[in-house]
Amino acid sequence: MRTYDQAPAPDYWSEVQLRASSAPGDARPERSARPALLLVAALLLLLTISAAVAVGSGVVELPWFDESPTPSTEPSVRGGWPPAVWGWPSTGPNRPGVYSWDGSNCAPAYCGVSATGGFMHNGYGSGDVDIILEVVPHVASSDRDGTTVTVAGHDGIYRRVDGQQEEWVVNIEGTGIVIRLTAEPGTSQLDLADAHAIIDSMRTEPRANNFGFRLLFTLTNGEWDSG
Amino acid sequence: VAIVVGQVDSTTDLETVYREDGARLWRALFAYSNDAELASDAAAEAFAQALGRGTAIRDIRSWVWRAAFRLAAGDLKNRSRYARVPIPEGVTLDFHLDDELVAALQGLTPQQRLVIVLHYYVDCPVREISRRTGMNPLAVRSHLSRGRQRMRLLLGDDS
Repeated sequence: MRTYDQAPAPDYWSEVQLRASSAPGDARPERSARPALLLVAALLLLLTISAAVAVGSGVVELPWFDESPTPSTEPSVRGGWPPAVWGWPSTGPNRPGVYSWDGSNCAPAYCGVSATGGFMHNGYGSGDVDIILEVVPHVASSDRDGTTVTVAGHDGIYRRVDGQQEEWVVNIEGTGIVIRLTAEPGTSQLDLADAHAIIDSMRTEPRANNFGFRLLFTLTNGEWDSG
Repeated sequence: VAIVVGQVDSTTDLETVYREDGARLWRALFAYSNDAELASDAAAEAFAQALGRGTAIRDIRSWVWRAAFRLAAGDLKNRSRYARVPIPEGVTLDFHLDDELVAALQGLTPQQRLVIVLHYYVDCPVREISRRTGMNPLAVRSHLSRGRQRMRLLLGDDS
């Protein structure tokens, strides 16, 4: 990037003065919403909040929900019931608990338009570690290089890509899953261990979706964000 | 030379910011847009608007950077210049840019390119990028992470 230091930056102060002094009113206006648009937005917001309150309070029940992405504030096991599984991704901080990923993609706003997988990031902690879950058409022969390990209860391979990135590749019932862990330089051992614990906790569960299964994993703290 | 536009008290401050950041801002905009003319236009317009707003701006430096990149992004969108285009004739007359670097930058999404330029060229940490762009710090980190991976792929750098 330092090659850009060679670019001969012009002295444009006189242009700044000219633009500012000639016609301040001609300066490009900042974006401003029209009052009507603001009114419509406010009404929509009010409707959304009302609907959320109605659903959340149980006044209105949505019959097609077989599970809630946030079923309770306590994900812990009680009375022998299996732990609640929270949907993924969820915007904002994610509380400790068990989460599922069924192949949904990272939101383009966070990962760019070419996003092809799930994304999680300990942005509410140090922000040094992220994990990407990506579905690949098939696990190529070149992906067989590495150390044989068990990933999500299935045989897979592990390799260190470089000083910052580790990768797990696993074929689960014909679907290739690549799990990439990226760490900023200087990432603490604690953060790395936390990320590894998430990957170690991964397991599969049969599911009626495109893959025939979903991936479950456990977050042990509330530092993780998703996209 | 201070000129009387808007609230003149801030002119000296703004000129200081210009002297300190003007060239770097222009180069960052150039790296972002791959267009010298657009970089000049966005930078001058941002400073001019700041001058017009005077002391209404609390953090002039951050405001100018944010405004300049927003203007540049708007201009890029209007001109449909997100496509990977070579550097125009005449722009690189007396200096040489790494063609692979330029191509790789143009291969990023606009937001990835923005945070990559601010982080690796302007040396801004995440919080500063957030201040200068108005992006959520988490989004900055996300774009940085994705952009870095994409750059590595485009530059064929496995190290």
